[in-house]
Amino acid sequence: MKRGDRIMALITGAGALMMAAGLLMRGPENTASARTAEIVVGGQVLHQIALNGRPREIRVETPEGFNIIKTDGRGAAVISADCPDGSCIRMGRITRPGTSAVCLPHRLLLRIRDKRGNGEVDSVTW
Amino acid sequence: MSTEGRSFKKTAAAALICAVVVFLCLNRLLPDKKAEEARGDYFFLGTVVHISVYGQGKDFLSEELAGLEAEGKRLEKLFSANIPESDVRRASDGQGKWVEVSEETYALVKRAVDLSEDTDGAFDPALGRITKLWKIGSDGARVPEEEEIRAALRCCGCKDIELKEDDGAYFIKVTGGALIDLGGIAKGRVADIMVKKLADDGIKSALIDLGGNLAVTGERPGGGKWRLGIQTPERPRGEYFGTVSVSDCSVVTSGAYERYLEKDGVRWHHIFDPSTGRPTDSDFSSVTVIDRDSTKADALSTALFVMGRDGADGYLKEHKDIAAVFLLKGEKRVLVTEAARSVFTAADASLSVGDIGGAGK
Repeated sequence: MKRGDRIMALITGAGALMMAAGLLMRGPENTASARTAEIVVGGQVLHQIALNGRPREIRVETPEGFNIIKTDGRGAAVISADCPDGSCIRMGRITRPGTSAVCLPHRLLLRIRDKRGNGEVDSVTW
Repeated sequence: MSTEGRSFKKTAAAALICAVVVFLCLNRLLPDKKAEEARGDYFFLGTVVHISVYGQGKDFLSEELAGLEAEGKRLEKLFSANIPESDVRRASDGQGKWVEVSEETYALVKRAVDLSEDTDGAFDPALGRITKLWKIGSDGARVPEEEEIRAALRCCGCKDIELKEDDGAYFIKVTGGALIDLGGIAKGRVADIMVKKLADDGIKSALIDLGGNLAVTGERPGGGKWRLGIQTPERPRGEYFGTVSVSDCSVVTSGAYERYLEKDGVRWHHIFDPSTGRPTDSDFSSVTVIDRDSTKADALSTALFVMGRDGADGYLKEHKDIAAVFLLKGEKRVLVTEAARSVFTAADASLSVGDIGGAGK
């Protein structure tokens, strides 16, 4: 092997190592698709619940009234509320990152997030 | 020169290329290069608002968020028909009298009247009597009697709105019992004003969501175009049938599925046909307009929904620059304008995609 070849091999090897290290550093962030249900009232995040299989029921008291939210391993839903329109309940169970159910009268927002945030799109127009 | 010298040059060149590649890879991979994010969720403009801003410096970004929230709430106090002291309410309540308003309200009402004329009344900012009669989406929503609708319709239309500028002061006069309702255009205007503020403050990447009316500044924080979904009707909010890829743009949707009153198995939605005073019996489930000008996109999405397929086709043939996506009611079919072809992608393989507003006048 010539001297130049050795330098080449060294540089290529170092480059490959650094790239591998970079990928490893990034790895866990990408692979963990841990989803959470987030309950926001009046702009404040009140609860972040990991969707990990254990069903839970949470009663949220807002200044305007209450909402009961049920979460399980795959999604979340508003199952009961004393708001005048009940549209938060009609929105049903949500499972995909980026989806949400809103109770406008109570200023309550329930949404599913993953590590990246909102799933595959930046937002959705409706 | 010896062979060894030449080979050294080659090696040096290879080393340089390697170094550049490694540098570029690291640049992409290292997290500290990423733009920081500040996010806020709010309730104003009668809806849910999300804002995300990206850049350097958490404090600066948080301040920007607070500024946008304050600006949005200030504008709502001018434009809302539901706030008794708003410019819009004072002008409507002042029946027959010139009422002084802010320059912002004057400019928006003027724009609304222009867009109403441009769409032959399909968009109508003086439909307040009708929206107040039905109250769809709020307490006391009901299906009025035909007689009430006819009486309310007589008090609608832009002929009843007059505008005047006098020595730097701005005035609006409303007559004939009409009520101004900017519900179909105000969110667009607020988005435009927020986008301008972001640019003035040096923010290069941001996403504004005013109850589903989207506006984006620049490109995504990581670079590249923003990917924005279009809501699938009757599915949880956030599920989409297609996406548009844009930068520095606004995307606004009008849909019959959003706010409605259900009575005896019939759904009465909130997009009224100014010619009948009733919820529009449209060919579309939803209409999405993609335009830099969010005020225009907001009013046009409503107008095109009201026009229906034939009306919209005719209008679009005269306005070839408009990018719009139409979801047909009860069919798995989407119509897109020529200008929207390059930005729209169907996300649902069972959707068929056709044209609207194409070929000749």
